[in-house]
Amino acid sequence: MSKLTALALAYFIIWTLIFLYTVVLGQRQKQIKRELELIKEALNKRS
Amino acid sequence: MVKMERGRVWDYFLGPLAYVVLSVAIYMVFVVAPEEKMMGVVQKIFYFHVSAAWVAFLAFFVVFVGSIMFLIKRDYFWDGISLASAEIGVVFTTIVITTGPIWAKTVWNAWWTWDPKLTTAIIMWFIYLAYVVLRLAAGEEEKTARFAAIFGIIGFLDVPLVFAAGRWWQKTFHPIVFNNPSGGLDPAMKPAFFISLFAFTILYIYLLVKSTRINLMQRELNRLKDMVKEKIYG
Repeated sequence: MSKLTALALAYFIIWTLIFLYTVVLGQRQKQIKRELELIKEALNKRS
Repeated sequence: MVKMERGRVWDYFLGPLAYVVLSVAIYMVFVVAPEEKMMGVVQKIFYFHVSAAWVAFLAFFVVFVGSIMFLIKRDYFWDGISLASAEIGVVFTTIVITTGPIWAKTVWNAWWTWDPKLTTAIIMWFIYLAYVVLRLAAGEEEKTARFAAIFGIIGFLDVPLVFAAGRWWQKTFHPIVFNNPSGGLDPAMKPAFFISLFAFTILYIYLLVKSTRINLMQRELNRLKDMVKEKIYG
């Protein structure tokens, strides 16, 4: 493995992991928001 | 709820700030910082490798403090922070233990050696991975949070060992960056290094705020689900 390939690989890993974690957080947040709104709506309708 | 709203404000401020300082750090590393004479261009892994290690240490320290605060105050805000910080710490430790061997292979011709620094680092990764997996396990909320807090305090014992391993056990080939008696970092590399540290710290704070808010929202969701269950089934 050349030095330049190693550098590119390392930086690819760094940014991929950070990007993936940010995407996971965003999806988790979206899912929770959707469920929260549905439950609040259902609770409001019942009361 | 107030803490959640406050978190949202920080979210909008910290996200763009993290983006800007990371861009500056990349510019400093690749354009301003000189190339190291012996290792060549691959040495540029160093800037973000060490910054990721710093964030991992900081994250696990926050888990430690958050765990103590949860056990004292029984406030789930601290539990949310601890869980968020443990997750981020695992992500950044993964960066450290994957970029390190890539660097080592090209410079020392070895992917991995079981020297004290690397061994304690991989143990640290497993400890906090176990912590995060433990939190995914279903169970009584209070019990799981309490057990995780105890785990978070005991698990932190390994963190100072990772940091000090290079100094305590002389056999390590891993370089010492801070307070190295035989020199340390070239002064021309210092601006890029400290900006990288700062950029990763801002990124950590941004991720911590965002992830903690999600954990608090998840708790609110679970509480509402229990309320609905109670209304339906009595």
